[in-house]
Amino acid sequence: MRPIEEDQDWLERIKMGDVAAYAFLVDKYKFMVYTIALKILRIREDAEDVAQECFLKAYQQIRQFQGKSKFSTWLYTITYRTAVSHLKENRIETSTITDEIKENYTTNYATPQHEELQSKQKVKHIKDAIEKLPPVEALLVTLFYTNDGTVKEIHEITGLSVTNIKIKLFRARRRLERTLSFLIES
Amino acid sequence: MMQLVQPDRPAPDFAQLVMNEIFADARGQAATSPELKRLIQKAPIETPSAAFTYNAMKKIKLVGSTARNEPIISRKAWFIAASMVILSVLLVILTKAPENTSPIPPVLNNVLYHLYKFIEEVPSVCVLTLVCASTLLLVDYLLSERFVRARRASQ
Repeated sequence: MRPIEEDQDWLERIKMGDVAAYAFLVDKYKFMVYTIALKILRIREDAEDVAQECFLKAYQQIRQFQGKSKFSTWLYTITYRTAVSHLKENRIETSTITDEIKENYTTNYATPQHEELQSKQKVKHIKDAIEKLPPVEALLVTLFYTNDGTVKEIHEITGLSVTNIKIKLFRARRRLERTLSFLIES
Repeated sequence: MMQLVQPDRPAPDFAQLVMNEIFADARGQAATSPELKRLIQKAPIETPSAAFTYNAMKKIKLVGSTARNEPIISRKAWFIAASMVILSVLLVILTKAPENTSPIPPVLNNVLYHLYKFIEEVPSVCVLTLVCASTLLLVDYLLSERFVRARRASQ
């Protein structure tokens, strides 16, 4: 059974009133929902609360899901909007999610010896490189590369224009290639 | 004098950067970096706490089931049924006229005659209950429709 059809099957059961069936979808999508929330909020506790809130919202609105897009796209759209609105409501700092242009991050160009890098260290370097990206770019990279999403799906989720997404992805790609060049070359 | 003030200048390589991005977009380069994709996919995505599903489901169960119990016979169907009952009872009562002077076609007259005979045979309490129930149903439908319309208008 294809993943979309499998989701459809579970959705039908949920719509019929089978609450327990929703646990399957929570388990399946919790990682990406949590990751999206974390990329935007940057605080683990907040991200977890928002991720749970998103699943609750999705459950309450499940009858409104028409199946025109993938369930995951619909769920990630709820996640993105909830996280952004949570960020706006609880903002203490003056920085915004669109402040990425300021490039207030530092890049360590010192190339570690890749022979010394263990698998865990490699993963840490990749994670760090993504973390150092501005929030929106980090999110786009996650949705595009990790989640294997299309630009159109990302446009649906974030509401950013297709051109804007492409430019941001290109910019993020350039930065990541520069930061992770020692890993790509190896 | 104001024109002497020069506009702010972007970085020296601004035009080059813009053109690079435009060329990259034209070539669809944003979507083509298999090496980077392979590398990024090596890093696992973030993991929430172990109790995440349990906590989420606890909140969801508090909200309750999404299944709405809807009656098999809709409100509209009840409205039509109530209207039909009232109409036929009224028709039977009001059209009790001598057969030779009746303006109603003979077939319909025949149906009404049998209906009238049936109502006559049924105890009057039953007929009265049926008429009262139908009237209440009709009034309820009309009032609730009005209430729904008023609520929609106020939103």
